[in-house]
Amino acid sequence: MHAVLEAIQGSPLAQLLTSDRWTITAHSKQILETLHFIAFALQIGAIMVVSLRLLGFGRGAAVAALCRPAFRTAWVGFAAVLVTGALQFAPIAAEVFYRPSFRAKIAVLTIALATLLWLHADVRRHAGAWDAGESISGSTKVLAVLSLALWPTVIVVARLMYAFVQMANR
Amino acid sequence: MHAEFWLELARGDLATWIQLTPYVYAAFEGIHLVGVAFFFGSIFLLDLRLLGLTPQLLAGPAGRLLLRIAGPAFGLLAVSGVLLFVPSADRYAASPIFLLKLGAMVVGGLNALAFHLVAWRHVGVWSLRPRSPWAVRAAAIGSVVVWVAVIALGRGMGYESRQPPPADVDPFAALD
Repeated sequence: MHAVLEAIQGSPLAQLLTSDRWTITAHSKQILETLHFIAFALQIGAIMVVSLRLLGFGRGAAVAALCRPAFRTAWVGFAAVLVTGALQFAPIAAEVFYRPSFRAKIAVLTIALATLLWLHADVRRHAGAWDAGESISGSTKVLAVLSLALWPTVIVVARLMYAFVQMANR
Repeated sequence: MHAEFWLELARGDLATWIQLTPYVYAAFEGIHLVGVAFFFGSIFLLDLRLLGLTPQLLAGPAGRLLLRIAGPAFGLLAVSGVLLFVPSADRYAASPIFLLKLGAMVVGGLNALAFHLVAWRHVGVWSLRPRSPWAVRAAAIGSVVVWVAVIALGRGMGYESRQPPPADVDPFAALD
C-alpha cells in the first residue's frame, strides 16, 4: 500500500502540481481548493434542498420536477469534488493517508454517500406517487434527516482535517 | 474606518476566544462552508430554473422553497463570517481581496433585489412561457458568476499573508 502511495506522490502529475514552473501550477493548491469548494457547495446544497423538500418544506414544488435537476447537480458536483479532491491528495498521498483525521473524513464521506445513493433510489421509485398525493414514508424522512446531518458533518470534519494537516506540516 | 478600531477588535476577548485553538477557528470555517453549500446550492437550482433549463419545475413554488433555504443560509454566513473576520479584523479591513469580496456581495445583492422588484412579482406570467425573458436569464447568469466569484475571493482571503497561530498553544496536537 505504501509503495502505491509513494508512486502516486512521485508521479509526474503530482510533481507538476507542486512545481512552480508556471503560474497555474504554482497556484494549483489554491485553484483546486476553490474548485473543490464550488463543486461541493453545488453537490451538498442540492442534496440539502432535496432533503428539506422531503421533510415537508415547499410542498408546492413537485418532488419529481425538483429532484431530477437537484440530483443531477449533486452528481455532477460530486464528480468534480472527486477530481479536484484526488488532485489535492496526489502530492501529499503518502503523508495524509495515515492521518486519523483523513480517515475520519473518508469514513463520514462514505456513510454520507451510502445515504445519498439510498435516498436517490428511494426518490426515483416514489416521486411520482408522492406527487400524486401519496404521503412520504417515515423511512424516506429518516434518510432525509440523515443526509441533512451527514453532509454538513463531512464539511466540518474535512475542514478540521485540513487544519490538522496544516498544523502537522508547520 | 479607523485602523485602531479594527486592531482593538482583533485583540479583543471575542477574537481570543475564536482563536483559542486553531481548531475552534477551523470549526467556524467549516460552519461557514456549510452555509456556502446551503446558499449557493439553492441559488444555483433557482438560477437553472430562471435560465429555463428545468421547465417542468413550477417557478413560483420552487422559487419560494429555494429562497426560504437561501435566506437563513445567508444569515448563517453573515454570523459565521463576522466571527471569522474578527480575529484578523485589522488585516482584513485593509485587504483588497476582502474589499473585492464585499463589493461582489453587494453586486449579488443588488442583482437579487432588482430581480425581485422587477421580475419575481410577475413570475406567474413569464414562467409559463417556453423561454424566460432575457432580463430573467441575465439575472440568473449574473447570479452564478457573482457567487462563484465570492466563493473564489473568500478562498483567496486565506492565501493572503497570515500569521499562523503559535504551534505551542495546540492542546489537540496529540490527537492526530
